[in-house]
Amino acid sequence: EQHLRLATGQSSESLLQKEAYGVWAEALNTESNGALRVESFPPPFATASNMWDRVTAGVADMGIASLNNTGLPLKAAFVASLPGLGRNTEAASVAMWKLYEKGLLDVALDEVEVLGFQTAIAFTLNSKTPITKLEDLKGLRVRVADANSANAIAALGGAPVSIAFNEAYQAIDRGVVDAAVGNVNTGVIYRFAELLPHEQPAMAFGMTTFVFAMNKDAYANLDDAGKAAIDAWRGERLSRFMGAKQNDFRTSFEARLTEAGQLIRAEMDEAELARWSVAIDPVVAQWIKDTPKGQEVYDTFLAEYNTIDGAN
Amino acid sequence: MTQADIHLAQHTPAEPCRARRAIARGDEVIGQIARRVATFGAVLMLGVALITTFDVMIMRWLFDSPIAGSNEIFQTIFPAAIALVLASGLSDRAVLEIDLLGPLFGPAGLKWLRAIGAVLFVATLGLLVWAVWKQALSSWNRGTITTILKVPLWPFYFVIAASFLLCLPAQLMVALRAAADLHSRWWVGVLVVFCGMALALSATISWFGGLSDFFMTHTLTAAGLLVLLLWVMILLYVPLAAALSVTAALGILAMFGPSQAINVTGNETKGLLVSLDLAVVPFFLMMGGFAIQSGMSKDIFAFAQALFSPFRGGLALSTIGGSAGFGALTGSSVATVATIGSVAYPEMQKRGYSESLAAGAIASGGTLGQLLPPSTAAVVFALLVEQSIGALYMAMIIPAFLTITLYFATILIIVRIRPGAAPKGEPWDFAMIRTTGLRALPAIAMFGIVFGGIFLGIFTATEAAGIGAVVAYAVLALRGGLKGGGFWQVMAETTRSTSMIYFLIIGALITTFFFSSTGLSEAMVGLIGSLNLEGWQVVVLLCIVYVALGFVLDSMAIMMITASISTGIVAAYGYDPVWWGVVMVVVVEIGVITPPFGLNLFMLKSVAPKIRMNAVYAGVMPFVIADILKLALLIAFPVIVLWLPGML
Ligand code: NA
Ligand code: NA
Repeated sequence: EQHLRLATGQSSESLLQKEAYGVWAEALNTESNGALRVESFPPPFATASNMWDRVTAGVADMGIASLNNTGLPLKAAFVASLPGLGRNTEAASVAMWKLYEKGLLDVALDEVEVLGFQTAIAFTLNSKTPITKLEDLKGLRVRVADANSANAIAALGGAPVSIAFNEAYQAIDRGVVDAAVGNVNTGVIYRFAELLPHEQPAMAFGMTTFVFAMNKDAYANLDDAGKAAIDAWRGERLSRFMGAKQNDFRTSFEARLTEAGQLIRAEMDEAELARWSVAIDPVVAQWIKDTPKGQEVYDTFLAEYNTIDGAN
Repeated sequence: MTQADIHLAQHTPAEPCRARRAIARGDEVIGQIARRVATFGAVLMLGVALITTFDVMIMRWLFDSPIAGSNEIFQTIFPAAIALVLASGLSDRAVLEIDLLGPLFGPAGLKWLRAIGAVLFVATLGLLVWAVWKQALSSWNRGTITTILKVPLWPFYFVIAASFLLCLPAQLMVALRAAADLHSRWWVGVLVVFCGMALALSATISWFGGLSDFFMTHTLTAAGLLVLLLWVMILLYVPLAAALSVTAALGILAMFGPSQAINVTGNETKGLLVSLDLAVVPFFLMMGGFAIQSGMSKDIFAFAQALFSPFRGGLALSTIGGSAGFGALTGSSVATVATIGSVAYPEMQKRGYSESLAAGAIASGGTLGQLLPPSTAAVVFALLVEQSIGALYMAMIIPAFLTITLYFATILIIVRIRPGAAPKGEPWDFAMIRTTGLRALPAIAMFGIVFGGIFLGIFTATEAAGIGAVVAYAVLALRGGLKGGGFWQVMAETTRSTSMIYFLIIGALITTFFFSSTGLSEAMVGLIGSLNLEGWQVVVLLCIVYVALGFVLDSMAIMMITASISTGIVAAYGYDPVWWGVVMVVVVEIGVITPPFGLNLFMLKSVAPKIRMNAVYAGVMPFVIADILKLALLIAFPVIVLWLPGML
C-alpha cells in the first residue's frame, strides 16, 4: 500500500471536497484495490498561495493548484480566463486537457505530472444596481482577481480594483467597490450575493483554471498497480468529471440564489452586447499577440470547447 | 552597548581582555550596519504607506481611477522592507524568551542557558537563511511574477534573502559575546557552548532523520513528544522563535525529509512576509510611535484622565475604551496591542499604575481587535465553514460589548481590592476637561479620518493602517517633532518590535504546518465528538481543548486547523454555526492572553521591553477570569449571540 498526501486547498467539510475531490480520492483507493491510500489534507497543510511549492517540493504528493496563485509566468494556460467565452466548465476543463496533450500549454507546467484540469464556474459582473449598458459601468469601481478580468473591466470603461479576498466582503459592504467580477460559488458560499444581487449574464469574464498536479518523484516511485490506478483517471476522465461537477454546482447555486432573491439577471439586447464584444476584442487580441502560438491556442481551445459543448 | 540590551545588563561583564573587546567591537559594528539597513527598511515602509495613501485617497476615491494592481506593492516592496529590519532587532537583543524558572537556575545557570539559547538561535537562522535563499533561487529559476502587473518577484526575494543573511553575523556576535563571558578564560565558554551545541544538534538531526517510520506509525505520540520537547526548550530559556522553529523543523524532517523541511521553512517565511494580515502591524507601530513623538498620545490620555478622573483606575478604563475604538478599525489583536500598548503603557507608568494592571488592561483590551468587527479570525471561520461574514459580524457585536463591560468591572474590582494598583480618583475639573479636550483635537481628528474612511467605504481596514501612519507622521511634522531625532527614534522602535514579532510568528507558522500534518488537533476534537455526551458537555469540552491548544499554537492556526471539524460536531447537536463561530473567536482570543504562549503578551513585551513577563502573566489573570465568565454566559444563553443577526 502506497500512501499519498493529497493537498486539496479545501476544508474537509466543503462541498467541493465532499462531492468532487474526495470522491476522486476515494475512487483511486477503491479502484487500485488497496495499492494506493490517498489521504486528503485540508489547509493549512497547503493553501492556495503555496500549493505549487508544496507539490514540487514533495511535501504534498498531489495537489490542486489555482494557476493564478502559482506565480508562474504562464500565458497559454490562462486561455480559459479570457472574457467573452462560454460558461460550460465541463467543455472548458476537457479543452484545457486537450491543449495540454497537444503540447500547446506552457512548459512551466512540466515541473509536475499533470493529471488533469478543472475550470471553475465562469466569472460574471455582479453589482449593487443593475448594469445593462456600457454607460452604467463608466468609472464604476469593480473588484477583479486576475490580469485578464482587470484588462476586460478597464476596456469596458470601469475602474478595476484589486482587494485581498479576506477584505472583499467588507469592502463591498462599505462601498469601497461597487461591483465585483465573481461567480455564484463565492456568491453563495461567502455570501457576496447578499451584497451584490444583480448579475449581467450576457458576458462572461472567464474561468479560473486549476491544475491537478502530482509530484514527479512521487509518481515515478509508484508501483505498477499504483501507476495504473492514477493513469486510469488521468487526463480527460478527471477533467470531465471535475468540470461537470462545476456545472452541477453552478445550476444548484443559481437556483438557491434565485429563490433567495439574490440573483437578479439584468437585461441586455443584441446591439448592446455587440458594443461590449467590440470593447473587449482588443483584450483578446492583445493576449493572442503576447502569447507564443497565441492564435493556435485560442482557436484550438474554442474548437475543443465547442465540440464538447455541442455534444451536451 | 544599546539601551535595549536587557540581558547583558543583568550580569556583570567578565574581565575585559583583547578577545572580548574584539568580539564586543564586532557586535557593535554589525549592529550599526544592521541599524542602517533597518532604517532604510522602515523608510521604505513609510514610502509604501505614502503610495497607498495617494492611490486610495487621490486616484481611487477622488478620480475613480485607481492605479491597477497597486496592492501588489504588498507582495513585492513591503516584504523586502520588513526583511531589512530583522537583523537590527537581533543586534538589539529584541528576542523573546519566557522567564518562568529564573530563581531555580540562579544567575550563573541563566548565563549558560542564555548562551546556549543564543547559539540555537544562530542555528535557526542558518536554517532560515538557507531556506529563504532556496526560495529566491526557485523564484529566479521559475521566473515567478505577480498576478496583475506581472512584476518579476526574484529581485525582491533576493533582497529578502540578503537581509536574512545579515541576521546570521548579527546573532553570531550576540552568541559569541554571551559565550565568551561564561568563564574567566573567554575561549572556554565559546568552545564548550559552540562545539557542544554543534555536536548535540548534528546528533539530533541525524537521529530525527531516521525516525520516519516511528513518525508514520505513531504520529500522535511523536507529535506529543515534540510538544514536550518544545516545552523543555521554552523552560530552559531558549528564545521562543528558535524553540518553535527547531521543534517543528525536526518534526518535518522526520515526517517528510530534509529537503521538505527546508522548503516548508522557506515557504512559510516568505508567506508571512507577503501576508497582508500582518503587514498592518508595522504600520500601526509607526502610527503609535509618531503619536507618542508628536505628543498626541499624551494629549488623548490627558483628556481621558480628565474625563475619568473620579474613578480610581481611570486610565486603565480608558485603555479598554481606546482598544475598543481601535478594535473597530483593525481586525487584529496584536495590532491593537501594538498601538494602544506603545501609547498607554508609558502614560500609565508615569501616573503610578502598577505594572500588572497596566499590562493586563492593554493585553486583554487587545482582544477587542478581533472581538469587534472587522475581525480576521471571524473571516477565517466564515471562509472555512462557509458562513456569512456579515451575519458573523452582527453576531459579534453584543458579545463585544459584554467584553467591554466585564473588563470595566474587572478593573474596578482590582482597584477596590488593591488600591495601590492605581492612583486615587479626584472630582471632575471641568476647566481641565475643556483644555485637555481642545488639545486632544488633532488626535481625535486623526482617529476620525481613519475610522470615518473605513466606515464610509473610502478605504479598507488594511489600507487604513498605512493611511494612519501617514496622518500621524503629518501631525508630527506639523508640530515640529521631526527635529532632534524624533523621527529616527520612531523608526528604531518600529523595527525593533517588528523584528521580534516576525521571528516569533515564523516559528509559529512552521509549527502550525507540522501539527496540521500530524492531525493532532483534529484527533483531539474528533475524540470529543465520539464520546457520546450531551450537547452542552461537548461544547464545554471543546472550549477546554481550545484553551489547552492555546498553550502551544497561535490562535489563527487553531482556527484554521479545527474550525470546520468542530463546527460539524456542534452542528450535529443542533447548535447554530454562527453562534459557534462567535464562541470560537472568543475562545481563541482567550488563548492569545493566557500564559505562557500568548501573542498579545509577547506583543506587549516587544513594545514595552522593560516590563517583566511575570508581571504580565499575573496582570492578565483577572481578565482571563472575566473572559471565562463571558464564555459561560455565551454558552448558557446563545441568544446573546443570535439575537442581533436574527433581527435582520
Ligand atoms: Na476588529
Ligand atoms: Na495562550
